[in-house]
Amino acid sequence: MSVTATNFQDAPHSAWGFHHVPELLPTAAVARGSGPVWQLLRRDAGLGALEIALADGSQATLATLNAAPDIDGIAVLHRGVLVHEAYGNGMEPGDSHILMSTTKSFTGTLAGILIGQGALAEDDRVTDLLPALKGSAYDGATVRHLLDMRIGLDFSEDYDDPESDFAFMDAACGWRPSIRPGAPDNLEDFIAAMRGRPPHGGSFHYVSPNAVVLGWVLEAATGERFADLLSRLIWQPMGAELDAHLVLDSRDRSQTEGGLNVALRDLARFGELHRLGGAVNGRAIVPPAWIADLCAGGDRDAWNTGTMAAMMPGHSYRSQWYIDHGHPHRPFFTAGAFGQSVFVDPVAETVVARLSCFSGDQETRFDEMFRTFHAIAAALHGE
Amino acid sequence: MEPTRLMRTFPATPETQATIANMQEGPFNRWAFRNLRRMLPTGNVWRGTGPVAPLPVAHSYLEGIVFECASLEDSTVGSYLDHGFIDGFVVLHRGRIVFERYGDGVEAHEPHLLMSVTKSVAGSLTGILCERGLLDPAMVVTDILPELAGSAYDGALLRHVLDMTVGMEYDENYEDPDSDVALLDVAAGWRPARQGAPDNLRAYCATMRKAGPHGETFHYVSTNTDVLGWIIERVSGTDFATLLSREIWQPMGAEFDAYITLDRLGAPQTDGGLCVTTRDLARFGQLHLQNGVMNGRRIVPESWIRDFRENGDAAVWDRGNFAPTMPGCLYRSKWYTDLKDPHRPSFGSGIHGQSVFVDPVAGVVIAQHATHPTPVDPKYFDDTNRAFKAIAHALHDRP
Repeated sequence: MSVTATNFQDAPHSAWGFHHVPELLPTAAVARGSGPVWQLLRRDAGLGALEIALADGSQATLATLNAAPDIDGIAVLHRGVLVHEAYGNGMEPGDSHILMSTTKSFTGTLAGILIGQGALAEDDRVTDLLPALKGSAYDGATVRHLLDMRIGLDFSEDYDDPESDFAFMDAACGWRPSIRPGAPDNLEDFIAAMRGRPPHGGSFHYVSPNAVVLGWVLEAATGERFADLLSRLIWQPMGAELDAHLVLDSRDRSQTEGGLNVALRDLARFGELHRLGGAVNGRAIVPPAWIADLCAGGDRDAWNTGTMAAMMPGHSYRSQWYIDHGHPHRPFFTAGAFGQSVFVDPVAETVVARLSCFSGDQETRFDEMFRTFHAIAAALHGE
Repeated sequence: MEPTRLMRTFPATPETQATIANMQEGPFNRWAFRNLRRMLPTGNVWRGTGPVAPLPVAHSYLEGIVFECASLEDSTVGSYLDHGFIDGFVVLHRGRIVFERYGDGVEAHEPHLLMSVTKSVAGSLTGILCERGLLDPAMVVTDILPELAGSAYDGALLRHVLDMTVGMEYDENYEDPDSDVALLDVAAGWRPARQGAPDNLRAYCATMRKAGPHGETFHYVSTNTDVLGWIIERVSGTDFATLLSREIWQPMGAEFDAYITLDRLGAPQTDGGLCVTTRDLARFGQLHLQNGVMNGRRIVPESWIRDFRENGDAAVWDRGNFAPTMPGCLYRSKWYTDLKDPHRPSFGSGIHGQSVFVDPVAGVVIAQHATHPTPVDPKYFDDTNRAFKAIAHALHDRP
């Protein structure tokens, strides 16, 4: 059985493929540099025995849930201390794992840093920075529309439909076999052919290419490649433990909506950086105002009339992060296909990083994952 | 075109876009050879968490060394470095860096493609596995890899694969798009896919055709070293990149991770796909200068290194296809040894100017990364050879 670039997302290949992506696809290194590692103190909080209530009314311990065959890793920080860590499927602390759409939150936060530095403004026009996208769905759109997924366009993001728009994007970046001859074989050709349905700034509409365009906007505004920007502005100053790896398409374009690969602990550090308001070890990395803004949440009406309201009621989306308004702690988190997430509960002072290769019914698996997050945060909060 | 102008815009303009189709041609190779990871799947060769083997610096002025140079009017090392498409150049003398220089835009931490110097790395890794008893040069290739039964490798021994004396039909013409080696590139993912051609290395290796006896004539066939990589993975049960990390990169105290390109099924391109920094290439040379000991550790068996320096067969070389351009050499266990030079230096060599050179008498190691515009320009190779010898002899004569 061979895992390849075009089958690595399918079980059982994903159990190996998700933590070996640089062996399958072209990648750019996100260098951690030579500075000191952000050391995480360790204290086992005994969370393995924590009982978690499942949707069917049964209970299971965290250790039992962690042992499921489609979970690759979980790390929990409480007040910055690593209180729980487990791996599965042969993944090790030194391996990087694909983040899928959790990548988008890295792109969003990087945008926040560059906006804070004045390299970019929220109301900058996308096509002013990326003239090649003139005439596409992005005509008239601003950086803020991208950040909040409020671009007016036709796009079907159905992961189960082999001929959805999303499937064609996957094929364009080399993650699936070509769907039909002549279909775009690189991201730019695919994105430039997307057509809009203005106005922008209306309902929330989850469209993965928006986060690719956002990543490219950052590159155009700075003249630096995304991997280098991420290294310089977050990975090095934060003290990441390991290099990360960003997938590139056949034309060396950055896959900034789903192509980032990081080690589990570094994902937890990224979450902790947000819990701490953007500064760590005495260094301001993300503007505090940016994080305060995303914690306040996105436009509720936009969410409630948008594409994910039925599945996730009471949430909103801001700057490529989700915010849970239904929970008194108002946690904010990222979510990527097949179970990649970093979850931040500011009141419980808890961060959970999770990497997975969900193979069963995705809705059931995601439900269990979020129940796990909430139970861990509640336990650490002393509830 | 200056390498700094390639791939710099978002997106690159069509004239500056490096792709799989042009990555081996100048000027695109100047970007591609240090960015292979951005173009192909790769296996990481982890340096581990141990200390870096220190290379103390004792700078020496080498630019003024004069040598008999074929292509330049001003025959100095300085001129050679200015005009030789050099991307990285490190000279060690008695274990100290006496010279270090990088080409346009290259930084010391960037791994650069080694081309066929990869073969010398695979050869030394084989020596380690032989010492462990996992391999023996007398082993029959098809006993280890039954998949190759019926191919050119029928009846061949590991020794024949190591020394490039497998009797087979093969055209290693880098500039003919229909040569056997071009199809090897297709299989490795180094050229665009072709209808009907094998799309992975192992299927490709099985298509080799037998011609003549094994063991009699040196015949340079890159595929042999892909077969060697396959053998190494089969007997060790470990992927090549991980094994190289564990057996050489970590113990020798490499400063940076290296990586190797993989085909679409994950097979390592062990005939030419390793990418390392110039400094770590110099450390790899120093490891051999020190007879296999580095960083206080025995890494490659001394007997293995002694064997490839001394036991190559001159008659086999003289009958072979490199004798006209490289007379007076030997090839054994994936290393060349130059008998014409009284110091008997050993070296690894790869197209477009990659080289690691070890002069045991002068105590000199030279590591070179380059991007000559064409794969085998005799003019540049001759200059390299002469420049290295001139540098080694000059340093030998210094107090």
